[in-house]
Amino acid sequence: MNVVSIRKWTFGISALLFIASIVTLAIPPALTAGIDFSGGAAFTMNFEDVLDPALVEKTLSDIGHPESIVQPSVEQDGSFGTDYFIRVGELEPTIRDTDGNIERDGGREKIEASLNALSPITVTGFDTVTGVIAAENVRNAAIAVVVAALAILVYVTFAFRRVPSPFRYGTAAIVALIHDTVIVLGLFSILGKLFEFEVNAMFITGILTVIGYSVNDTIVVFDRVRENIVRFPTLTITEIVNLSVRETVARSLNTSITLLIVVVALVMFAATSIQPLLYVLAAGIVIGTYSSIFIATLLLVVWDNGEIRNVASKIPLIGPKPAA
Amino acid sequence: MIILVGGSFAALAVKNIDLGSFERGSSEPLGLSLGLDLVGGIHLVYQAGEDGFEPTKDQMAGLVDNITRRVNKLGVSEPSIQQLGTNRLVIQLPGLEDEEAAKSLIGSTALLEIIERVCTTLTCDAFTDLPTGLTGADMSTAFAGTNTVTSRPILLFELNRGAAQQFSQITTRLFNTNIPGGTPDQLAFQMDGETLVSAVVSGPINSGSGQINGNFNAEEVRQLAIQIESGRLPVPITELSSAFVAASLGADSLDQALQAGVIGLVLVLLFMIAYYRLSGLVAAATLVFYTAMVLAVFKLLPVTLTLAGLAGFIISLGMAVDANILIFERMKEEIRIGRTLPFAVQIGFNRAWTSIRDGNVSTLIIAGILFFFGSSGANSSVTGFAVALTIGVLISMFTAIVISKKMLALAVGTSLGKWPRAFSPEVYKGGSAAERGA
Repeated sequence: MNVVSIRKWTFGISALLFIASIVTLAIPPALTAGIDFSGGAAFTMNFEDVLDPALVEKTLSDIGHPESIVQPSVEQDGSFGTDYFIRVGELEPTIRDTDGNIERDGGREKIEASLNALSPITVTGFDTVTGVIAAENVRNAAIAVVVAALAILVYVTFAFRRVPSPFRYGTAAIVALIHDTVIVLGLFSILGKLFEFEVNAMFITGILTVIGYSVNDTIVVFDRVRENIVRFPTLTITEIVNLSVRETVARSLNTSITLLIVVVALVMFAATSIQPLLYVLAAGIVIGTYSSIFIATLLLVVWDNGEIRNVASKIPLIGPKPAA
Repeated sequence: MIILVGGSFAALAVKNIDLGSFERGSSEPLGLSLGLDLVGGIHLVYQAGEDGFEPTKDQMAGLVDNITRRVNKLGVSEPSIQQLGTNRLVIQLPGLEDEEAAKSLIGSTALLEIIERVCTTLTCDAFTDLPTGLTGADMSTAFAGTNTVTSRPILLFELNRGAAQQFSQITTRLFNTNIPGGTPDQLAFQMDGETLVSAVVSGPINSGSGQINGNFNAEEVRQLAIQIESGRLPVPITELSSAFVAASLGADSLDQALQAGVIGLVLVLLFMIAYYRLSGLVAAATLVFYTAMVLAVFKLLPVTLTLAGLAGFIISLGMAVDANILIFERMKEEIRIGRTLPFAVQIGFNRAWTSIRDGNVSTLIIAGILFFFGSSGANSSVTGFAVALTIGVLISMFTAIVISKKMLALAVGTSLGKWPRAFSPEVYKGGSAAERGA
């Protein structure tokens, strides 16, 4: 197995995916904000009969509100009551003519009619609600990620201090981390634009998980590179990297497979409400495993070969650097 | 080691733990505390101001912000606080146990004012109160502290940036008019007209942050800080309704997620056993212990588990599996080049350690930073994730290195140790490493 020889392909594919992700993220809306961020409408209602909340959820999903959050009241004995607090995405205002007849339904009438068909309802409240997550939280999370990336850079550089150019290992790990995060964000940006895939609070959790996984997976491969550099001082970096990847590939695949097993099990059996999180995790595991080998590790090779400078000099904006 | 593992199972087996002041447990599965998204909680609706009062957007945003901070400060995991319509708030807090406790978290609806107290006697027994125009809405925070010189408890407070200048003018004026031997005028915090604390101004306060030294004990200062904090609401609020509601992720989500989680875990364990044989069996046992220990820690601390927390736990579980895989792959390599089984176990653990350490330390760094930044925001699923991840990773390092190793060493020590094939998918096939590597 000679992974180094295919570096042009993997860097090409990654660059393509990365740029595509940036482009789609640059076109607003970058991600389709779900009810957790953008808010929507809230119904407070009472059903005549005790219903299975899952049925209410399914009914709403069937009429185009898969994002709905359905919460029945809970009685003293733990059983479900007949009062419901239901949140859905934003609805258009219902337009009525002068006689009070509906001219155009903004969505409210349809929801009430569908739910009324399950069991007669009395709506005691209909209001707009704001998002649960303030912009401040998203900003905090983003700042945290940037600071974490810098801290990882420092730690990895420190942990690899016994090999030549330890700074490269830290940088390569961060490049892989950025690569994974941007491509996963890009993927869900496209899904949002094409299939109205909405991003909710769970999405943040998912992205954080991807970041954690990406760094951990990269470090395992780097650890082997570190060990082999010390053990075989005569080998070139290309040989070291090929050897290290060959030695760690079984572990990389086994770990990814075990994680994917769990995620797929959850996709098949868990509630629909956590599916978005699972998709993010699945995408992150695949991309994180790929980038550890084909981006982070191969970056060590091209950096050592001076290929980065060669490529950079061909990009017009950066231009050939004057000889030092 | 046995005590730890046994203790973990015992802690989970008993739903409610009550050792004097140490009470843990709930009616939820295994007695764990679960979040709003998984089991639901109390649902409260509040109205801002009197009927007919129309608060501004900023006032409502301030209200949401203040209540969020207050609830977060008290360590409630991932509450949901939203503006409903133009003048109401809907607040959901996790847990289905104590309605009154939940309401007290939201705090009193009283209005806090800072007033100027013009004293007519030396001990200020008689006085006239004048409004300063500063209210709780101008405060940014109040908290208990300790005087660095006298070591006595003091109350520290800060005003919003906009109010600092006005506060500076008032304190400067009061300080300048308080001549020695005269009747010193005071400033006081009043809640609904009732004086919480009053103090002589001992100097102009220009920075917007001040402290009150007095004859308090620590508990009094803490109470005072909470009262002042709760008076920071820009608009008084009144409760309209309260009810218990089911999980926001859907009523069956917890059962389904648990089921799916167990199925996933069993599949992983089967995969490990199929691929790594006896070693995999050891890993499987370790992972079961691992899960029990993590859940026991969640219960004992306690950590309120939300979906974000579960995600943190699952990734740490993944890393625990990964640690085992790293070790076994190393063992496999050592066995392949002809080392004896006990030696291969030893080397496998030693060699795998550096990558386990670096991977785990990196993850701990990420978790730590996420916790630090996440905790400053509301609805912080980020914090929940970080806490669960930290606990999970710390325990996984322990189980992989201590428990796995002990158990594997025990297994290798028995007569089973004569068959390396039972412990590794590949065995020594003769020849030296160099020949085969070529």
